[in-house]
Amino acid sequence: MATSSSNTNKADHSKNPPLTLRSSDGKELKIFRIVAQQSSTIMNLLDLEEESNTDVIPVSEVDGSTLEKLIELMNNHTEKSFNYLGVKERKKFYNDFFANWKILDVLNFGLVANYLGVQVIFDEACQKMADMIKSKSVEWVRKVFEIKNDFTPEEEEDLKKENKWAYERGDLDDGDDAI
Amino acid sequence: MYEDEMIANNEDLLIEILLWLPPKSLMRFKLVCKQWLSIIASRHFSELHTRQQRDHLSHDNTLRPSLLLRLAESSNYFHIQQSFQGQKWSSYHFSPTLSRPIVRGFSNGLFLLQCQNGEHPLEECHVYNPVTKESRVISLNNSDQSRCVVGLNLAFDPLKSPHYKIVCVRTTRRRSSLLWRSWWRRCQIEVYESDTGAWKLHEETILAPSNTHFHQGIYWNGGIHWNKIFFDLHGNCVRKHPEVLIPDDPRTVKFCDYVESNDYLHYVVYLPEEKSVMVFELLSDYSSWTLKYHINLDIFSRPLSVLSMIRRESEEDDMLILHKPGMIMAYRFRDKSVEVIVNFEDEEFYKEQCIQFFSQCTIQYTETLAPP
Repeated sequence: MATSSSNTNKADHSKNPPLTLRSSDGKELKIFRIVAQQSSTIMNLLDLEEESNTDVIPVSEVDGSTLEKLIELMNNHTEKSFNYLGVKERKKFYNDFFANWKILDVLNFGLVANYLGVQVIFDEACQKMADMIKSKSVEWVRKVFEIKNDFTPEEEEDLKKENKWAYERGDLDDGDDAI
Repeated sequence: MYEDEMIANNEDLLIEILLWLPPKSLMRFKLVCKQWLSIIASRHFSELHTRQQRDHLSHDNTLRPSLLLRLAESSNYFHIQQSFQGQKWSSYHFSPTLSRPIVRGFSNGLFLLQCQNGEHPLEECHVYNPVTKESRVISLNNSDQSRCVVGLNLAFDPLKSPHYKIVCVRTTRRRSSLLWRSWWRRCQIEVYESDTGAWKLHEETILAPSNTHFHQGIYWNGGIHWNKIFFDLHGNCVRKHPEVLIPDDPRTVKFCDYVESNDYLHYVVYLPEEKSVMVFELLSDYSSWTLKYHINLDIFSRPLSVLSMIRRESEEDDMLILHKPGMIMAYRFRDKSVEVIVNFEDEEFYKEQCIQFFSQCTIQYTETLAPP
């Protein structure tokens, strides 16, 4: 993906060979330095590695499949054309990227983007999760995120009374598409 | 594969997700658990959410503003809002602590109300959030009994500050005489600032035609806008709008009103005899009004009134909200399509051959979590 762009990238290949990242499950993935700069964590790990002179940077908190997807997104971000996308196109791009993902996968992806310090992708993952839950019921949210209801029945009743109109059932969509 | 309680243990992540949710969803999710309640109900979160929301709205073109409409000759309000299944129409009930409120001012999702049946209807007003239904009472400065309130307005811009201002316009009580009719009246402006809790009297007085309506001024571009004039809150001065170039023939029936939408100030002119609507937009340097839309409504019989103009991020979503007998409709400028949003012919309040909703009683707003 990144290799199909301009001449400057070709020049980069010879001067700056791609870095190798190793995931928690031993998968080795290549990433160009210019792309890796989006991740403050990788840059920090790189500094450590240069001291110990090995070629491979271990990213022990992240599994191979997630890391691969993240690198794919980071590659997209470095392409010039991406930065010229309008708001609608950007939204469509991310909708397509996250299409059919399960919400816990998006959550995991967001956590990884956060760990690697790639703010833009973290924001998009948070937005996607908000989109996926905004029209769901309270019960659905508790079920999917395994959250325990720690209110007493009286406390719940009081809260419901205060915000009566927010609970109209007709408004909600508890489809299982996101689970 | 996933840690237990990933969400619970990651409060920062949870907050980041909650910040993207619309206010209505957040009100509902207060019930998920105590941790979610404590985040959503915190003032810090509400202010952060309110500030960020304006930014977020430009990313989501599916969110439409809500409309609050007052039924003519009544204190009943109705609500048109976005719901998962499309537009929803319902009666709007204010918080039960407020008796027969009427909306005097509105700005970025907060309202300013006066309670007609309250204990001290003339001595106080309420800043109100229609989503959370929280309100705060503000006492008016009635020290000078010779002056009465003719206008109450709200200025709130969460991008600038979580604090709001109230602009109160007063005039000297005049004993009316059969022989002398005042075409003009002299008005004074007082500004209340919520961070200091104090009223400041403005030195310059305005001389305005007696029929100038000083309630429901539109807050836009740092000023409160009334008919042809506005109060610049930065410069603390009253200024005039540039002229709008429309036929000024007094014989032509025209209905005009100012509407703010998506940070643009519009002047909407409806000419029923010519079956046309003109929408002007004021440039932010106040140099002139530009004609944004000029449409012909030949395609269907003329509406009773034009209620509002909704401006979106892209022109193809811009629309006009119209009232026809028993119905409220949306007319999309780009493809000239018409969508019936509400049909109230079966409702008790429906009256044939009557204008039941006016643009002056229609408020377009975006839901917010802002604390009053």
